[in-house]
Amino acid sequence: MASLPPPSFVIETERFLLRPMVRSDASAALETWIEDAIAAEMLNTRPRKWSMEEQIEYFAKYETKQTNCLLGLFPRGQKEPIGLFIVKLQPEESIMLVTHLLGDTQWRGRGASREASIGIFEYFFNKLDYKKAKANVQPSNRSMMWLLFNGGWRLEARLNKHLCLKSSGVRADILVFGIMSDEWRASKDSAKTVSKRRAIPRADSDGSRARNLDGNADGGHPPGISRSS
Amino acid sequence: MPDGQLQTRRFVLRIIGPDDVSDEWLRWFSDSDLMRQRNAHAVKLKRADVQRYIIAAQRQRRLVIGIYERHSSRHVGLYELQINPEHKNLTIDVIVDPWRFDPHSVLMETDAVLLAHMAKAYGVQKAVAKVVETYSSALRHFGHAPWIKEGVLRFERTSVDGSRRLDVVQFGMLL
Repeated sequence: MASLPPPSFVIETERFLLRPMVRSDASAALETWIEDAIAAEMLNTRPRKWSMEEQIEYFAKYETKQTNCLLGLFPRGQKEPIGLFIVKLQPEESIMLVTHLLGDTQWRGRGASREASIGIFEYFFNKLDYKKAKANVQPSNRSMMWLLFNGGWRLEARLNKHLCLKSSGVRADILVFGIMSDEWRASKDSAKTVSKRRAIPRADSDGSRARNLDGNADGGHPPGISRSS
Repeated sequence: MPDGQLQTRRFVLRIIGPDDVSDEWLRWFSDSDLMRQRNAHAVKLKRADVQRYIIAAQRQRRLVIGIYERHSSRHVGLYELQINPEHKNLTIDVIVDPWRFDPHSVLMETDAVLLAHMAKAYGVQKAVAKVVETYSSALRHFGHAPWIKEGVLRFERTSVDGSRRLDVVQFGMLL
């Protein structure tokens, strides 16, 4: 059986810190995160400005439930996060379901999701002894599928009309991906196609979305991974 | 449920309350073969244990519904249902006495009536069953139309003896 994390902890990577979000992390910088229709759909909410009050309410929900971790992704030396990971834990089965949203569009296509996910999986697989990670992905989110397949994840199920989308009320399919801890360790260093840039991100001068080294548009969808189903 | 129960040709379905714990139920949970299939420990439960389980289920908004034979009132099996209101999905777990009844035959008859009721009364739009690879009688049932196999979740559960991880087969049915 895997362990639950303590109420407060920090995961460190080369460029980022990840830690549980608290109410005081609510910030004007996050207000645009779910204005993007696809990002909102990933979190199964309607696109809108994410008000400070809503952020506080959202962060507070995670403070009391130890099996649901809401982790902010903070560049070192920066007060505002650039993204979120939601990690829902089933310690009795040693399974975790990971949801991710890279809210700050300037960081898309810069390897932030991959670097942060390595930190997360090292923590939950190696320190807390989780055996399997799962992610639910919408079939239209090709950039995330590409990242997962490159990272050694396997497609395990296609759930037919499984989600009821709040934005439209229609039912949508969801793909379930999974990776075992030993598979992740074996594939961790083999995902060579994902770029990792050291430079601080900035908006491209022509306004186009960031692209990785393979030329795949990485900003078409925010690489938000999964959603609760 | 209309009049507190649903009827099929051979069976009656009704919500089980703490006072409805049958001897059959206690026997199923002490049956090592049946529990091994379900990847659970066989346990000799007392009536009070099951009553506490039912009360806990009610608090967690899980519905425990009994299947009873119409002509004899004998307890045939159980459904345990959990509604996900956000996505209007209904997750189903089942147990049917395998020694006296054919589980597939029973569930083919009861599924339709129960799921139609749940769709109408609770607005659920999809039924979901997650079956561990060892639970052969449930796999046989859910492997038939109108259920659709949606995938195999690899190594999803730890076996009851802790020796290995077991797959879970996920089935779905739009209502």
